[in-house]
Amino acid sequence: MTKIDLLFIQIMKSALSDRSFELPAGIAIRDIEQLLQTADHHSVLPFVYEAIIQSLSDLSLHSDAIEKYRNDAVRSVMLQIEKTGRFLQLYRSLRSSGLCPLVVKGLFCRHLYKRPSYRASVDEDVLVSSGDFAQADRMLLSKGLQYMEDYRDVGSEYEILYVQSPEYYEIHKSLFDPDDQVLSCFNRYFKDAEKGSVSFKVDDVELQTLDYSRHMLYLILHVFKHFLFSGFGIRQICDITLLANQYGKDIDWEFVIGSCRELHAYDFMCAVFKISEHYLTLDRLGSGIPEEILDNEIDESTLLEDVMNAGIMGAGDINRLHSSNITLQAVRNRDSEPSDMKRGSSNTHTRHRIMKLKRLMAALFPSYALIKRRYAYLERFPFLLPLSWLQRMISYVKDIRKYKQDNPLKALEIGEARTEILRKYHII
Amino acid sequence: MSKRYTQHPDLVLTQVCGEYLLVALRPAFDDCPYVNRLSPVEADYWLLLSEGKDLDEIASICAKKMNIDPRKARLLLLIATKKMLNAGYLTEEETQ
Repeated sequence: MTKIDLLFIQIMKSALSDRSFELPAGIAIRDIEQLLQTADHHSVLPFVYEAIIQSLSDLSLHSDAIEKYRNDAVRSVMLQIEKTGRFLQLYRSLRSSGLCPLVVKGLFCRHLYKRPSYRASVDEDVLVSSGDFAQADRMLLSKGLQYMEDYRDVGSEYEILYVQSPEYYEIHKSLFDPDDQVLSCFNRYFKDAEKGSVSFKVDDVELQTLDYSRHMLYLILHVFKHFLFSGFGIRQICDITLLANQYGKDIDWEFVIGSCRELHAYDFMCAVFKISEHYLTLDRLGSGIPEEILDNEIDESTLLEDVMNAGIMGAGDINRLHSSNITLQAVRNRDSEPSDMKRGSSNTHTRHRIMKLKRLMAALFPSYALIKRRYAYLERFPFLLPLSWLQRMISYVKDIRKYKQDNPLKALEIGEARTEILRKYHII
Repeated sequence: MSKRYTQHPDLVLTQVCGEYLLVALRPAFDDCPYVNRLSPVEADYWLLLSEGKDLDEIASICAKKMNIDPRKARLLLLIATKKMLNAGYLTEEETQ
């Protein structure tokens, strides 16, 4: 991690308590600009700018770039205020029609912050039962919302994205893709979610959400999912920190721990909470988190470095996004991967090289099941699978050129490096 | 006859990264924009209105603060008033 990364995390720690941060004397304007760029990368620009605004004035640190970031921060907050307002209106309509959708992530996480509108959300996520989906769909369309994509059969999708600028709404029938080999099993922990739901208030609107135990598990598994793909940013750890601090005593930690163990996410979860305690504002006593999590010997620094490089939802750079092909393949074949302990033997070394080659081949030539969602024609013409591979490779080359990447193999390198991180946290 | 301005009760003035924003609470959603930027003069005006001061008093205070002619201050406030009336932030009534 760079000195800017460390400074950024220190500022975020202050921001979570809504405290100002005093910048070190003599800090260069260039460093401030880099700091703000990092904050923007992690979608926490308003938090960081607000925390250092007094210090910037005291140290007379100004530049056009810093002013641009300030304006971006203000615009981000204004946009979020408007989006929240629109969502509250829509939610009231859904409730008044007899539905009881559960708000997950987004607005729920936002209400945990002292300055809620500083935490931006691209969209609002809502969970409805399969039985309620048709009515919810009709209601949303009647309000002028439109489908974001050209869905062949809305009823068969597990999540539908609606748009009514500037707002995006994701309506889920299940929280994770039920057809995904890796993620489908995550859903079993959220069956009958509406039965134990709890309410929270934003403005004068009462909203329903998952119970706190399931919401904590959902936030952990959500970042775990992104970690398997291409990573996630610091803001997700901030969400988890605040949820633990504010509702930790109402969380069934044994349920969270047990679920994570079953999903090979235990060490990952421990690393997240260790980052939360050592670098952010997790209250060990107040949250009631079991000591086995915070005193776990797992090294959290590797995860933190990955988080800092990833940016929000792992979109740090285009190579990172493409590297998910490698990491996901490693998870799918987790039982075939050589373990850390056996690495010494030449037989395992050979197996390791074979697995690496298999991952590469799977990344270049994914199976029909994995790729059919992206290329709709494959549903009707599955024999065109080789054509879809070619299309995909051309799309990758275009991305490489568009983002001016010199090394076309960098995605593979990142993928292999991140696979080692998965191994370190015993995910594979 | 003079005019009296009443503020919409469901608005909150706040500061974000050094900028003043007037934010509508849920009951005001049908009457006003969800959020709007206010200049420092407009923000001062809003705060002083909430203290029950009239336009002439506010113009005098703003003129001293900005070190400008009171007539110019009054003109700025009239422009601000029009903006706020159009946005639904203020309602106007004639008084004796």
